Amino acid sequence: MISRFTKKRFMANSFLIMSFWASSYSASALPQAYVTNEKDNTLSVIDMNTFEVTDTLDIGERPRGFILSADQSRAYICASDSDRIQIIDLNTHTIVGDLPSGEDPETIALHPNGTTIYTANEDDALLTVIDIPTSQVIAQIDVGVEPEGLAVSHDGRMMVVTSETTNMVHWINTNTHENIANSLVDARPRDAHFTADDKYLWVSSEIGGTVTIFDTQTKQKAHTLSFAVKGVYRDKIQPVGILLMRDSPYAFVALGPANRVAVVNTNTFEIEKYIVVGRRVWQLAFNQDQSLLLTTNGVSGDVSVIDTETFDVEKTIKVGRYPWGIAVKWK
Amino acid sequence: MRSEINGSAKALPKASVKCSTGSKRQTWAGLCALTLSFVIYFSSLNAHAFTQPDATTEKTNANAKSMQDNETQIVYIDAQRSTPAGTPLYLARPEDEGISGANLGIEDANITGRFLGYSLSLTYLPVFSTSSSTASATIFNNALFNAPSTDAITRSDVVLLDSTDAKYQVLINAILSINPNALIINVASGNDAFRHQQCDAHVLHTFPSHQMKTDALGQWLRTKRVNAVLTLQGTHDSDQAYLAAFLRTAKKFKIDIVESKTWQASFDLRRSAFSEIPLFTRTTKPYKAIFAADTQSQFAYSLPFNTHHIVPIMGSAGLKPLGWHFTHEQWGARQLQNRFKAQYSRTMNEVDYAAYAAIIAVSTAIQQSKQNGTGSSANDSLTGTQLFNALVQEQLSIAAYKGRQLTFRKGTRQLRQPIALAHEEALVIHAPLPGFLHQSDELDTLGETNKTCKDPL
Repeated sequence: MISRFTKKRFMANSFLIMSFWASSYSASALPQAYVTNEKDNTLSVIDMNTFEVTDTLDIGERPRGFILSADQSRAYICASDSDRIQIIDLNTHTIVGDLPSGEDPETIALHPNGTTIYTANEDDALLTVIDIPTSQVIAQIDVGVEPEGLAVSHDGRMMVVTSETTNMVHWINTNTHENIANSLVDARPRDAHFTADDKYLWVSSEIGGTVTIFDTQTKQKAHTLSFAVKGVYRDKIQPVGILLMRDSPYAFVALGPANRVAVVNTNTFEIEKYIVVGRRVWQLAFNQDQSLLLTTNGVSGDVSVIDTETFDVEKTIKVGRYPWGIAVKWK
Repeated sequence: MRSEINGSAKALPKASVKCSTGSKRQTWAGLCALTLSFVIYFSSLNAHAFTQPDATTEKTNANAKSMQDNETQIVYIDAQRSTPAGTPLYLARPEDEGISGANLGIEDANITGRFLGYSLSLTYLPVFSTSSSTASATIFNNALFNAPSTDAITRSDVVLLDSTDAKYQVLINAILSINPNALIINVASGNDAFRHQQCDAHVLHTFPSHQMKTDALGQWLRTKRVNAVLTLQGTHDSDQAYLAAFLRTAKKFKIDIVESKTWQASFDLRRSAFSEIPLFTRTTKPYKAIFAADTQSQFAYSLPFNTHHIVPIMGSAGLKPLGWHFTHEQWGARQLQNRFKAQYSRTMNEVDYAAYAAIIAVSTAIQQSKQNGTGSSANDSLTGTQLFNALVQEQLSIAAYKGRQLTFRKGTRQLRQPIALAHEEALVIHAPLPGFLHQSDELDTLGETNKTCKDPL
């Protein structure tokens, strides 16, 4: 039996050969995955057809959060120790500018309007709102200690920021930049994601070991997920990255030093599987059709590629030291 | 840039540091000046971070006053400023050790408190003495019993105690005689005996016990199959307690103690270590490691590369078991290290961390009660008893940059926590080491656990 994955790769390889005729520049072989390596100050470029690292770019110090612009022609990188958000042109693979991020930006999120970007300033307990076209800071909002996870609702009206040491989700009105509510969660909240209909918000708590699902209307907890992996001490189960699938009822939660990704059925909230990946799995990204899930594994310094239908790891790709942020470009 | 600061957030009462005036002792005045400079420094910092740029100190005080009902007052008693003679200057305790960790904790806690409507304030009470012996008990009592100090302790629900072993008991008794319901948190002493005293009072320990530290070393020794150790100790009281803990560890892990020697500290080693230390460390049987119990840095610093048999040194030099080390970066620790260094221009040590963790524990208990709407009405702060019950009886867990949820042991009231095994250049590993298992909590492989407070050591 030829697996879906192998077929896809076979076709992709033929595509690569064809495209190789057309252009010898590897940046044009789409799709490509980009991975920030926190301790190498580099960005690894992975060809998603061959699953090989085709380029490693020098970027700012301690790069962590990484997102693509709406048209995927550019990307924004949080270079935490350089105290800036770098803008990289993904066609030429060159840094073309900075955004005024404030100190120690760790994560970033883009508003659906494509022109407003939010960043969490971890050392200053601030959320900075930046207008991309003018490169101006529109607002700075006081939040809890060590803000980290950011999420903007799909309708663009609301956003949240989690604060790791204050253990809160701060709800922000994106029009007024006002903090409209604060909800306590379990210890050390990291990642946040709105469901496609914006009715629920998922928040991971690294030390609490849980994922809390909030009703976005009432801002009350609707559900709490706990995880248990046989043979793994509960302290080692530390949920960080979350991704929800667009069309099928599944969510994925990276469990940090448990070295596993949990597969959650979003209808039943049952955890259907724990997928073994590399060590200290951190952030997650899908490819365009969400057939593949990529994970950054900090301690082992690699990226696992998971088939989202079979939940099997199909490939492990060695990148730099402490891979952190990840995104896939297909446009 | 700051014109759009979140409207709903309440202005934050500052970490106020009050000085006790009226003391007859001159050191107090000097330290009060130092503390006052802290106040000014913090006010300026906080004005920058949380309020409009033109905020003044008076404004800060007004805010603090208006929220006083919801304010939990904490006293920090510092009774170990002096470094003994013979300790090299470069190894002396930082002047602001401990209190700086507490101040940072107050800042972090108050940012959270701002969203939930509570605040913590800190009063710094230095209680120094020219003598380090217990005979000076009356001096401490007098110092603590002067009016402003007594007021501060009476008003407070929580007392952080940063004391040497010699003064510890006297100070606890003095605090309890002023405020029997206070929650006292030991942030500086690792003496295991103190974990079995004051069973009826609300005493907690965020500083790791000697036994937790020596068990961490024991795990390392077992893992590395090092089973013959020479122990060296100084003449200080706490050296004896530290060594005793190591000997219990050695028994537990079946590590052979080749010989035990005491350094008499009769002369300064620095210029003669190369000739003196080999003589001091010569034994009839060979050893594979040296454990040094030298809590006051009188000789252990000279051991590495000077001993008769060249072996790893551990304990007070070389591989140190610590509650916190500046090389620890994981689990967000780097952020805390950065914040600390930016404010206090030095690295954070284990006493700073224990004080920080104590404040965070108190803050977490208040947070929990706000969330549950239990314990106290919205306008009251929690009492020392309520805080103690939340932390010990209800086993509230605390997140404090160690990658695990930390709780207090019910018997010994000791904060369970991983121990950093570190040397000057790097963190070796956090104990518990892989493979050391426990039926209920891996952290309970460190220190004594299955005991009630009243059980003897």
